[in-house]
Amino acid sequence: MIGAAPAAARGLPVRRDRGLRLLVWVFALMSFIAGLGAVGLRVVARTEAAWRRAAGATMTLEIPAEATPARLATVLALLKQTRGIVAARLLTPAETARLLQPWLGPGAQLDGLPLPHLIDLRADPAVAIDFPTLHRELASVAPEAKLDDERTPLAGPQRTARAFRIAFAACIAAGLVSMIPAALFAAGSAAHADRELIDVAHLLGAADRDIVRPFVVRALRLGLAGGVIGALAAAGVLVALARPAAAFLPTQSAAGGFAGWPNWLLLAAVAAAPGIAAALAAQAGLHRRLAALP
Amino acid sequence: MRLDHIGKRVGSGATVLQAVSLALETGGFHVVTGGAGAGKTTLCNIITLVEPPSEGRLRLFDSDPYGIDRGARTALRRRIGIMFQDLRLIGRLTVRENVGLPLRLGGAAATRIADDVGELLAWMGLAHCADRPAAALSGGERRLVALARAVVGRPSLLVADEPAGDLDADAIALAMRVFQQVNRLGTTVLIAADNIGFAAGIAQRRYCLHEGRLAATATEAAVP
Repeated sequence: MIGAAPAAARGLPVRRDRGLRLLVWVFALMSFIAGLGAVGLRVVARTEAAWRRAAGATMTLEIPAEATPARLATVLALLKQTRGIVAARLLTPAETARLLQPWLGPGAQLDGLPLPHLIDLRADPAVAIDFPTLHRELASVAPEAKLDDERTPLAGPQRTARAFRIAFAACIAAGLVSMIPAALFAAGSAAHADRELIDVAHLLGAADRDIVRPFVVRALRLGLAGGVIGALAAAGVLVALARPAAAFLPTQSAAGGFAGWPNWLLLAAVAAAPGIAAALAAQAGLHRRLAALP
Repeated sequence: MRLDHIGKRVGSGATVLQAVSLALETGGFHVVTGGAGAGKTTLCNIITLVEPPSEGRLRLFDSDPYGIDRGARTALRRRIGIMFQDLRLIGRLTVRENVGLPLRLGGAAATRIADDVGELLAWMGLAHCADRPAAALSGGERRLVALARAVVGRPSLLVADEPAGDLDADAIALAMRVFQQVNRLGTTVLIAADNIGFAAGIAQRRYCLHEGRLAATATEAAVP
């Protein structure tokens, strides 16, 4: 039988600094803020998409009967080039007559009537159409054209959604960016507290990687502990908000932004972020310090 | 180990060492003397790779330590035992942990560290304080612990800067027994001290530094 190799005691006995444990809570707060921001951003995006879908994916453009085929062709070309419109089709006279039937009655004779030209538009629900520009361009080629624009009422809510998007993005940025000085502080404090040990270990022949490793591992643990606490707290808030949110969000799909695996993935990433930041800061700081030694 | 015209300037250019050339025979017992400010500590620091020379050429174990990569220089450091003038013990670590540090950094097994350190501390009369933090020791005990840390890895070269320091006569005798023993086992020993009375009968070669220059050398009969 092959016996187990004796355990090596490689590595520095680094200081267990109780003061640094407070940083766990700083990292937790930052992760909590960033986590809520990330999920909030997702909820806003889903809500906007739901609004767009609810507003309808089709629109109708009405052009007076006297418009020439050349003008109609120009309008069609303009529509097809417009971002957010995926299809534009000129209805045939028979299709137009069928659409007008409910207003004119079943026995109406339409042959002599100057029927307007109708263009059926299909929009991409995921893309916001720039309606002011579209109206301006239509006015230049077909001044009498009338767009049956059901999306215009969305302008207000979309502005609100944009404000929320900015606020949530700011939360993410604040959470993640403030992790950097906290990580640098953690790394700097640990290295300063153990500066004698680092210098002596170097002079006694410790390899740089053996000096750096325990500091990186400890920074990683510190950051991960804070990140997990913050992400769990954010998850708790989400679960608590999911039910009341369903009551005021426009669709189930939007309310679904509060749940599902993408949220857990986002929160997992947020939980890992402080650990990664702290470990990288510790590694960079220690290597810089060691590089200054002969 | 060989130094050729080693010089060292610090700060604004003050010269601490100037054109020092000497060679330490492998397995020899050497002493460097000189008054305060003579450059003994700087010489020890250069030999132990604590600081590089400003000029001249240093050969250590047939290598140019500053002409090789960092990893190879680290390997050279592991062959050197250093007893710093200011000891550089880690105050929060126990005596056992301080002494075992070179073995630990070298990747030795925990059982070997425990055995070797325990045996050495017992031999040096330090077993009673093995589990006390270094910061809680007396000056003399701290100096002996620093000596134990320097020899525990059975280095090829042992450099001790002012090893007698604040030791009493008994502790100095103990330290000298340690130096003699490691020297018998093949370690090249270099001691730097103001007064080498305690090593007079042991040193095979004596170097005298004065204001950064090697003033004189003398060969003495070794006393086993």
